[in-house]
Amino acid sequence: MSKVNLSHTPHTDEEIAARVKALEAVLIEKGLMSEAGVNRFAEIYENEVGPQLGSKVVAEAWINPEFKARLLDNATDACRELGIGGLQGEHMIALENTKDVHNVVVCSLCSCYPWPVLGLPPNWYKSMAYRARITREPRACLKEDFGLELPDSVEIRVWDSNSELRYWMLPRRPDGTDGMNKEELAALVTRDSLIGTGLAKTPPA
Amino acid sequence: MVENMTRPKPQKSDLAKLLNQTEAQVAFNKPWELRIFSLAVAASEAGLFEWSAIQEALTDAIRQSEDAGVDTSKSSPGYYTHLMTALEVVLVRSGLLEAEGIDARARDILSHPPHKNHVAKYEPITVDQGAR
Repeated sequence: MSKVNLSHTPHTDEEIAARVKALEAVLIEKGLMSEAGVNRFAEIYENEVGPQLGSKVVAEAWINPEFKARLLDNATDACRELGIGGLQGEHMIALENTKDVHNVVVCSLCSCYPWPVLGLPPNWYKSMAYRARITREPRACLKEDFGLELPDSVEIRVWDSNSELRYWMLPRRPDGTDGMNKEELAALVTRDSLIGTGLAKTPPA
Repeated sequence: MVENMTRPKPQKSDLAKLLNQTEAQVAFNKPWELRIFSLAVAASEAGLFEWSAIQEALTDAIRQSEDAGVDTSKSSPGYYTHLMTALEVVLVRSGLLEAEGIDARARDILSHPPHKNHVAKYEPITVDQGAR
């Protein structure tokens, strides 16, 4: 692949913001894309997609065992049944967290993340600190950094998402949630429980 | 008491420090971060390149920066800068863009801040007195 030298590296925030504007202006002037296109994605990724969509899927799986089986078999297709899908969700795998096995996801190289069910990743997910520590010592990382202490008997599996394949978790349904409806259940599902760095919330007693 | 004073405090990891920062819990901290991300997605959706090309260039940019050494206790402030670099690299490689053109345009934008000529005015700029 050819080496590209960018002659200018912006440093201050103002310089970077100006460069982003310049890039957008040039692409639009060349007729390669439209401002409306950029606005549309900004709206979608700022306001529309987020972990509330993944929570809906989890609540459905907790209530409906047949849907759960389909979700674990093919997360992309199962999400589509609920009208959830899109960019960076073309091939998703949902892994079930149980009392014996706890799964957690990282993108060891950059920031791959299932946008349709989780939105855009928080900054810590993209940090070298997370990528390094969860890979090297997951049990200590979950306990010391995320405050998630799992019994020693629980096996922890760390999964590496990449551009072709994105993992996310089906957290365990908390005890004391019998009889709750889908909306109530969805409210217990946190972003971190979908990443695997946390558990679903337990309902107030 | 003596024991308490001599026992070293458990060291917080870089990640633990990072997780305590509000800015680490969000995806975007500044408007330009959302903009460069949306621009890259829109350009890919417009068919200018495959998203995987961005991802590859992004991985390269992150690796280069991390090999050069970064402070891992900070919330990766360079992430969206890396994404911008990746977008430029992909566009220049595919011949859709000249890096020099972007430099010139960015300088132009910087030298004309939007409010430079729009000073605060404490009087109405137009008055229609109406019929009296």
